[in-house]
Amino acid sequence: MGTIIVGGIVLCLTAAAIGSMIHDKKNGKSIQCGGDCKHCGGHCGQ
Amino acid sequence: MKTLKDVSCGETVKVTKLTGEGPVKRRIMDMGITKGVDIFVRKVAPLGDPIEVMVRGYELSLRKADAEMISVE
Amino acid sequence: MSIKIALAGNPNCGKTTLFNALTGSNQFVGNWPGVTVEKKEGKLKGHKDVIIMDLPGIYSLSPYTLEEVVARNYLIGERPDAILNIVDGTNIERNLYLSTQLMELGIPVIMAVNMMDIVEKNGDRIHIDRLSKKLGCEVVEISALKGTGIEKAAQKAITLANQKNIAIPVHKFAPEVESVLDVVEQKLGSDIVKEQKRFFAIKLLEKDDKIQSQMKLVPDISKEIEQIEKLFDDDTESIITNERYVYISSIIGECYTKGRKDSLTISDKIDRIVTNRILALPIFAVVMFIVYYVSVTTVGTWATDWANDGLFGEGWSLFGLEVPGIPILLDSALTAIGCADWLHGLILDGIVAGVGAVLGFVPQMLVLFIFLAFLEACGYMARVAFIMDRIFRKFGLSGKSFIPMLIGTGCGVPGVMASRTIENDRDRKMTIMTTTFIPCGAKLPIIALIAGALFGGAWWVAPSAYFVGIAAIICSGIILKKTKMFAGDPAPFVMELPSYHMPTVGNVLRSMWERGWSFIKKAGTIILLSTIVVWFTTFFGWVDGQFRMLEDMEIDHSILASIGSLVSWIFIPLGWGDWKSAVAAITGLVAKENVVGTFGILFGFAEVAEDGTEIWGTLAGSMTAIAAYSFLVFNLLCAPCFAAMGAIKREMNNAKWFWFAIGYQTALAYVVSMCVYQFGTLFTTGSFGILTVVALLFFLGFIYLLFFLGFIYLLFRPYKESSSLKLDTKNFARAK
Repeated sequence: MGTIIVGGIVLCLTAAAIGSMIHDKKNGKSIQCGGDCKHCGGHCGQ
Repeated sequence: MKTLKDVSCGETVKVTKLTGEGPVKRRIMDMGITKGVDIFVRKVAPLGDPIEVMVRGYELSLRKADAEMISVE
Repeated sequence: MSIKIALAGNPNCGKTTLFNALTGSNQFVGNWPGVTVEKKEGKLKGHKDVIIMDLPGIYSLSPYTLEEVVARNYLIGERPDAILNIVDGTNIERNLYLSTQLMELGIPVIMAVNMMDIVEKNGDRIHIDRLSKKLGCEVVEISALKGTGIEKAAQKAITLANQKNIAIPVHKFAPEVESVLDVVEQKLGSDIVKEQKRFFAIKLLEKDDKIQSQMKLVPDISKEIEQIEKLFDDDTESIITNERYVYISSIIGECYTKGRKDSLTISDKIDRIVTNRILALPIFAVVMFIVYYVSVTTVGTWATDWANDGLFGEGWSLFGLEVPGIPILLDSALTAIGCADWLHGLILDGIVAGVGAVLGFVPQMLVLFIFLAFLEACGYMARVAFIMDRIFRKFGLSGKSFIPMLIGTGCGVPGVMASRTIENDRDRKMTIMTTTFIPCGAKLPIIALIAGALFGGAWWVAPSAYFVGIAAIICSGIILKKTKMFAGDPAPFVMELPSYHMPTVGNVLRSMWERGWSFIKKAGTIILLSTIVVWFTTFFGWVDGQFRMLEDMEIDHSILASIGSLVSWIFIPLGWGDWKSAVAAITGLVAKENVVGTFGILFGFAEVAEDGTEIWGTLAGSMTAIAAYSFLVFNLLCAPCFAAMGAIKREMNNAKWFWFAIGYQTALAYVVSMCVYQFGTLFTTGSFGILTVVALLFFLGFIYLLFFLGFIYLLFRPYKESSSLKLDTKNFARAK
């Protein structure tokens, strides 16, 4: 029983992780720095 | 002919002509260094190059090699 | 129908602040393929159908820099419904120069004079009514930082866009220029709409070939050009530029009244010390030392120790109350719930060990990000470029290259992207290639791991990593400069030095949080997935022809071990030819923190921590100190993570250059690590083998490239200060 519950949680987490990565990718964000960048766009110095 | 390169710190000079051509000249002019404008040479970088000047109310830094293209009086 | 409003203005005029204020949290960040410089897009707060477009900051619409070309292609090609031109009120004269060009595009323009709070504080006055009349567009006063006037500006822009009230330039050039422009306008083909005629006429007169290639019909105007060039004794491009400034100078007196006369501002006073001839370099060194010493060694270590030993270790005490660590809590919870062994293993030995090892470094990174945000926002970066230019130029880079590198200590992706501010193509390519040599935030855990596990937390390991990065940049500069691709004269360096200003606490914290959050998010997504894959491939394998889950002692039979063994021989000359290190280095390509996460799983950090023994002990047992340092050097210098490679590819915009950059980085990493290991072993143990000879040969070759070739080069072609941007490869080839 415990295995199923915990396994389910881990599966959900994994699915959420993949989902959020796809979501970000669609929005044109880089995974690395969260950017292309919402506020800096590589012009951080400005 | 005297160029911006020869001007010492703390002096104010007037631009008479810009020599050179293409992108560099255009960039310098875009930044407001055009014929007749006053330039105040504020300081020289620690290692002797580039220089910092005040033009049209703001601070600009440029290399001596580029400053040589700016004739002043 | 939706309305598009483009924000255009000089760099550093507060455009991004305004963009954030206008769009609020309601953002959508878009990435346009095919262009290397992206525009940002967001919806105006409270208006679903109004899209705000943030263009890169530009000084002019000239064809010479990437950002200017992207901005003007957007403005001409896509024609937004209105342009909101942001003008820095404290630097109005030069800012108006771009405005005169925007007015000619045949698009409704509204001008927002920003930083009015500072203008008022200085006792200056801007007469917006006169400015409006002289430029022929509506002008509003705003302060993007304080948020005053921005709604009014946005509202006016919407009204203007709806009315399609196209800006008609009021400014006029000298009569001679105007008459020539009239003639050129007459000659233009019918494919150009009436309101854009003036723009195209001017660009034709300026001999702008990028615009010419966009026109269907290019009229021959060489006679007009010749006539006017003779008259003014100058080229047409300069004549037009000159005319714009002449017009601005003629109106500025009426529109702008200066309050106090030439008193030294605070910014000037700071600058007197910070860029002082004697003090500038020591101050710079101290600033850099403080940033990395504090974030890596003092505060950083304290926080990371707590996170690694406490939160993700045996536990920590909160006001005398013992709080057990996450692994212990999870362990008991999983045992209580009666979870199967394999899942128990996946969670504790896989996810917690891997993700935990990475998350442990978050505090350290946050400290670094605070410093970086402060340095970026206060205006010191431009000064650093000013101070360092002379040195960097010697290595074929520009002072501006320093800014991407400093940003790259946070993350290589924005670092590589920041190289766009470098106008010269060669300098930019060189900067893109070398920026990722600087240890980024994600490499920090690797450094900390090696320093902690094999050097007993010695203070010099972290600074030496930065030193290796800087040395790699310098050597690359010297070597690459001599290749045909990078040969040529130094490029010009013309840069604005913005006034210093105290960054707001909110801004610094937001920047820190954003970068920190993306790091945490990465741990929760890509690192999490990697750890699951690594755990699975580590603890499953074939033993005696049977596929099953492995015991801790059997992981040499795992899937990962067999894959690792296929490639690990490559790294034997570098001193870490066992499959575990090879696998760790390869998983580092996904994200550099992954190296630590993979080690966490392979060496079972969580398990060891439970026993309360030294966390990094098992790693120390498997590697010599010199091999570990070689491993560190390789991971610092070799191809960066996929995201940074993607950034390099985007910025290079050329497959050949991209592969050259990646290949060069990896080859350099290999050679340097090999030298480190072979010579290190030679000096410590005295063992001399065939590999030592190979390393010696590499080393000599390196020295040859570094000095000798350069010596010949200097002999025939002395360093020349030059004013031209042209590549002079022919001369170079002859000299060689």
